[in-house]
Amino acid sequence: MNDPVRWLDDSKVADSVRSVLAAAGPAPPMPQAVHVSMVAQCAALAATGIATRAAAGGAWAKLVSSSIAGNIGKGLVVASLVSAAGTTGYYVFREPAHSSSALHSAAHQTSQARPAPSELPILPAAAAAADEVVAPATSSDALRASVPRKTKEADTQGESLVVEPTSSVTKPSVAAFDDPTIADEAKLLENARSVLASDPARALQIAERHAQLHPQGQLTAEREFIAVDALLRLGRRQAAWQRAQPWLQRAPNSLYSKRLRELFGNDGR
Amino acid sequence: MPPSQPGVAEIYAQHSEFLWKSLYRLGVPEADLPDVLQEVLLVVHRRLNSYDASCRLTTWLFGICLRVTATARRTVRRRREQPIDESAQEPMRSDSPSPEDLMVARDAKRRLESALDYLEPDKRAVFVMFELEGIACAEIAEMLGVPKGTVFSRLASARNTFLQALVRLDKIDQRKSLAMGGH
Repeated sequence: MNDPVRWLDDSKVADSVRSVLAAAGPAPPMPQAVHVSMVAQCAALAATGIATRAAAGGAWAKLVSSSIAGNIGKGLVVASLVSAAGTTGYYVFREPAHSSSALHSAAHQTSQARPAPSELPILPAAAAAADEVVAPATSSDALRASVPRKTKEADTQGESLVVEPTSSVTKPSVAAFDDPTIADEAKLLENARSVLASDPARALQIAERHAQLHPQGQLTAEREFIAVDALLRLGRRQAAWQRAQPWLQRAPNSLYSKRLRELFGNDGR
Repeated sequence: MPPSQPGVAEIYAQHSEFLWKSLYRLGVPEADLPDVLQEVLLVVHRRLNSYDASCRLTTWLFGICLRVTATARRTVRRRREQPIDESAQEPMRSDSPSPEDLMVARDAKRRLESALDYLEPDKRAVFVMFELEGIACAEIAEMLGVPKGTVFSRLASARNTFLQALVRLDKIDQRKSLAMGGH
């Protein structure tokens, strides 16, 4: 059976109908900022298994903060998880608050009528259930309310919620979105993660390769998580512990730290 | 997970455009696409183990898009209810056609979107792919993992609903126009 004639090509169809169909534009292209956010989130999901673990707990989980990492020694990026039913998931980049408009205009070019993602309220239930929100810088009062003490203390330099902000984290975040290497980063880390169980030495090797290729990479957090996991699997507990220290000390209540401690806990038994 | 099974990052890298377009075809407003895509990726990640390669990956992904969209549909509909003012606020570019042409084009687009909103998600997707994007039925069938006959029947049903929706929208517009004292 052949396809029917498309209405647009069918002169028997009323002009009024065809003119309506002709008004359709092509599907909108994905904004680069959104693409980068999704790549980062996929990498975070793959590296930490966040969604899987949260799902096991029966809660609907959403990664509200992508983990675009700066230098592990300077900036902090922590993936944050909100468990709540019925919240609108959204993505928040770590960024200085003053540059958020640039990001949001890029991510939501056609949605001026809507609030930018970071302005969307988190439902009280979600805020209460939120893990420490360190990464996203936002002026949202709702989000601010969900930030624990430690982060609030760091919130003295204006609106940024980034712990220990340094010059490296206050550069305009938009630059990160023009960086095409983030897909390479994600791919590399995905490779590392896929061999983590079967060949942790190889996974570590790939993680180190990531460190060489992307010393200022945006997925540093995921890389370090994989590296620590690989070291533990190789029985190099001391090395793993040392490697995890910067994270554990800087953001002890963060999701990454919790996951790291779980790794050590499991390994220690 | 064995290396042969793709992870969410790999799936996204290969199918980001498919996912984005599928959600758009299913009627997710452009402004909501990032949120809904994020939700889809979470589901993909959580259900990776349930993908058994007995169907095409795109079929599996489309199924997820369909379910996520169906859940969010009520919200989506609600948000769609005031599209006129939004478009009226769009800034005019200097290379644009005349204001009259623009208004006609905007009105047609608004009618299209409103009429599409009357369609069930799976039928809407078929309608959009066939009528608006010109994808052959066989290809649509393969993408969605359904027989070609199902695509035909969904298309026929969608066409009916679409025409009825246009008639209904005409009546609503006429009523509004009368209420405002216009012609």
